[in-house]
Amino acid sequence: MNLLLSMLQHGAGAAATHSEPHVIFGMNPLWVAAIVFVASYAVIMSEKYNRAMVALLGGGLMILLGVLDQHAAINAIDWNTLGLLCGMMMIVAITRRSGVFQYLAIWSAKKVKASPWGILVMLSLVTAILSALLDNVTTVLLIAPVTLLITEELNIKPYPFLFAEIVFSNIGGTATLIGDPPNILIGSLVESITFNDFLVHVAPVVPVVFIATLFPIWLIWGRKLKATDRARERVMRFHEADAIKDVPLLKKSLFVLSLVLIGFVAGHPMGLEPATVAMTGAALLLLLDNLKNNAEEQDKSVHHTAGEVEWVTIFFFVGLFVIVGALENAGGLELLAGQVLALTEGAADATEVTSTLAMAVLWISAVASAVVDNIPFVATMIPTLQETFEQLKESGVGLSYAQEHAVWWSLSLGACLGGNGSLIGASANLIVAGFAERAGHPIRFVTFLKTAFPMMLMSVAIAAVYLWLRYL
Amino acid sequence: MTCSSIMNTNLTTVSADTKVGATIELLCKNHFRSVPVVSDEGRFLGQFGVHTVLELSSPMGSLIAREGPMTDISFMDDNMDDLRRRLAKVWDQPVREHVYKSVPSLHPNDSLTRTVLALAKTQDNIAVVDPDTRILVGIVSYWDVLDHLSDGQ
Repeated sequence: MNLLLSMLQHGAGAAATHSEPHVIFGMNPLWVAAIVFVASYAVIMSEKYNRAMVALLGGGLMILLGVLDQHAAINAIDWNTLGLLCGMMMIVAITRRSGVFQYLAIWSAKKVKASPWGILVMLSLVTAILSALLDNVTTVLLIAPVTLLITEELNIKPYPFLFAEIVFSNIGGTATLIGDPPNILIGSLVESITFNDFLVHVAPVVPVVFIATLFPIWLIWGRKLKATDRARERVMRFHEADAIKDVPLLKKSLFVLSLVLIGFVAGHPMGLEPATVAMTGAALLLLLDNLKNNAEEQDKSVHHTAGEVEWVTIFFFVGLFVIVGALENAGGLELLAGQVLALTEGAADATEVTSTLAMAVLWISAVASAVVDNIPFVATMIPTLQETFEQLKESGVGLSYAQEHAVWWSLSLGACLGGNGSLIGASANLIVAGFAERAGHPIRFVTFLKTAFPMMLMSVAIAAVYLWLRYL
Repeated sequence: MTCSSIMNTNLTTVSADTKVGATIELLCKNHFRSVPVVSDEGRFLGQFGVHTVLELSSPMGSLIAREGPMTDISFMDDNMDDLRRRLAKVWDQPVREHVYKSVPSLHPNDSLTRTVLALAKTQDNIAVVDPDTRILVGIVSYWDVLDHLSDGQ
């Protein structure tokens, strides 16, 4: 209700931050922007229509209705996010052809003599590390089929293994700027945050969450997992070396991946943004992969790799940026920031404001991310929080960089860990569920929720303690 | 000339409740590549063929053979016992659980051109079904077409 009253009071007066809106029929630009924003988000959350299609239509409507012009819409698109996503998608698309993901999964299963609990722990670890270094969607896409093979050979139900892979792909992805889309957005849209900041401020809590989450998994399933010696022997007969399909490609991929990771770590002081590093790395790997090919083969190879970029996701981001940019242009984020600010009423100083904000953002993000897609949620929260910080400065309770960062880490931890709260909480969850269904072991929404939601709350509680002890 | 003029109406089918094992024995005995699976009312449900048997005996067969990012699983070292073990798991299941539904079908009034092109593309027998009731009325195979083609030479 407060928000509605504020909208009526602000009207067109608040709507002139970037470009002057010229909304058709002289309608209130804030109302138009708010209606298109809410309608687009509602349809995206309903999952009845493709999310890229809806986001692009919402963005197009914002321009057509005059909430912002095309120039402002293009300015609202964060090209660093898109460049980073495209670059990493191409690198991963080429690298996975080498078979290294399957190799790691089989190697880790054999390292523990094919004992079921050992395999679960090792596959969880591999999933978490690869999710942090690459991205969690690709990781589960390649690890889940091997898991199904291994559990079939062991003659045990794959559910505990797939459940663990879902959970640990989201936990691992939390650790780095490139691991999970919410972090990519935070790292790209908040100028003062670098790749290393995530390693220093978010990554340290991830191993703690990892170990703590393994415990209930062991209690529920792990201690009962058993396989016969004969079944374990079948897994031990796997030849992991045969999983590597292209040794030269593997070497090139690992070389470029190392360069890219060094670029992320060392690039920021030299003014290199993650998108530059990822896109240059992708171009270099494409070149190395095609050195011996003639022009026609190169065309085919580059076309194939470019086709493996998830363009639906890229266009979804483009549409989202325009929708959020339009809302910002019409003054809507200013109002949302006012609502966020209201949460800190009664806080005596900047320290108390930071504590209240950080805890509220952490828990709200976690629960929201379990229920709805965390990408649009974070895309809206980032400019809203930036506006909140501005309003705090104007009211004389400006937060320091360190205090602002504590709130960003809350958003990152809440949104990424919150993805574990339900089967629809993150893209990786749905991919594993899809594989399980096709393999004849469907993962039920409620069954997953009953175990995953409490585990998610536990991991967020650990994150809250970590934030409290370190920053608040 | 239409599809109905060259289709074979002397049909061998299996019902949805037939066991997988019995269907495999039927395929082996007659050297069929595939056999249509029909409901009690005679409605066409899909095909069960040699490819399905091979998939069922391979690791996570249907998943890996038909889709997914991991099409090469040569790191596994199967022997004949492994293949038999996987097939044994489904031997007594009704064939309805493994019927391949994504198969093309033709209508009796489809043109000869359409029929021949469909056979060339599918490289397997194609069911001919009534467009309204989905009742199976015949089968066209490339042998039927070859017979007709060679007759005129």
